[in-house]
Amino acid sequence: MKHLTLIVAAILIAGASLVAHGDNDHVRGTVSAVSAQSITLQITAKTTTVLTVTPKTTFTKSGKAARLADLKVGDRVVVDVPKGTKEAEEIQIGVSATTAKPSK
Amino acid sequence: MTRTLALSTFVLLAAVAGVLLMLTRLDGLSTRATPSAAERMTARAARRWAAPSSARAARNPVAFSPDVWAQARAHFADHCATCHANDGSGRTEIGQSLYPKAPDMRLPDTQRLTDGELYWIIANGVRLTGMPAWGDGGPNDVETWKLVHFVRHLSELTTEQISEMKGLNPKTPEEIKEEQEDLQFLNGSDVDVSSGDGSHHQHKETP
Repeated sequence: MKHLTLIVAAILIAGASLVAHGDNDHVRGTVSAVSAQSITLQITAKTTTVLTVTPKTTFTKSGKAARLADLKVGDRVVVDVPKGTKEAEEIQIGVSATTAKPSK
Repeated sequence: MTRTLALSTFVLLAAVAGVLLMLTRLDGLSTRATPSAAERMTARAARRWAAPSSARAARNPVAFSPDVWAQARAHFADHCATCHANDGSGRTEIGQSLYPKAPDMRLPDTQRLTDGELYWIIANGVRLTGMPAWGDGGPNDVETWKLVHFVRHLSELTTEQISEMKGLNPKTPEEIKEEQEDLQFLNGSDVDVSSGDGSHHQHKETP
């Protein structure tokens, strides 16, 4: 009886529901529009994506903290986006696409 | 009367066990699940209970300084952030796939622990979780005491410090290549983003 109670207690403790977790998406692109709530990125010549900017979004430029105000149309960015969302978690700001050099 | 009560209890428990076993067979015992409130409560209680009272009262013998802070960040980035994340949030692929999940150490549940309890947990691990024992297990591991300082100062981490820690996180050759490509892209060189889905990558570490 005592053993059975222990087994049942263990089974009760083991009960739980499923939740999904996973990697971040890592998005490279050039900023084609920027507002306080979102940024639009040109990913390829024909592809754009809109990502949400939240109060939790962090910005860096050359390894130092930056702000949304530092982000300009034409800037190259690399954005970390939690999988399954469109929320920009971290935005690394690079040079402006106009100063970018095409590879040889 | 006593026998009837025992028999009824047995039947009830057997029925509950049967239902739970059936549910378990349907859903399995995945570590992707979120622990129930009862499990979280039990795990937290067990974490506190695990440290002997003498360890709870132990004080950090390492004085906090900017150097200690920098060393602790580097140590944490290299050894702990894979599960706990550089900012201590636990939001990493591994941290969130454990059962129980790696805790957000910035929250009161962890911050309420004494320095001695934090030290004990790092030095001895936590049974039935993903937390292993680190260091030599003795009471005077200086590097472990520095990590206690790190946990205590999580709320002071700056964006620059987290960015610096990212550079110290263990990486696969693929991640190193991806980082180099990111840097090239940010600096203005063309990286092959037009072929296939080259603009989207899986990236392991969150903060």
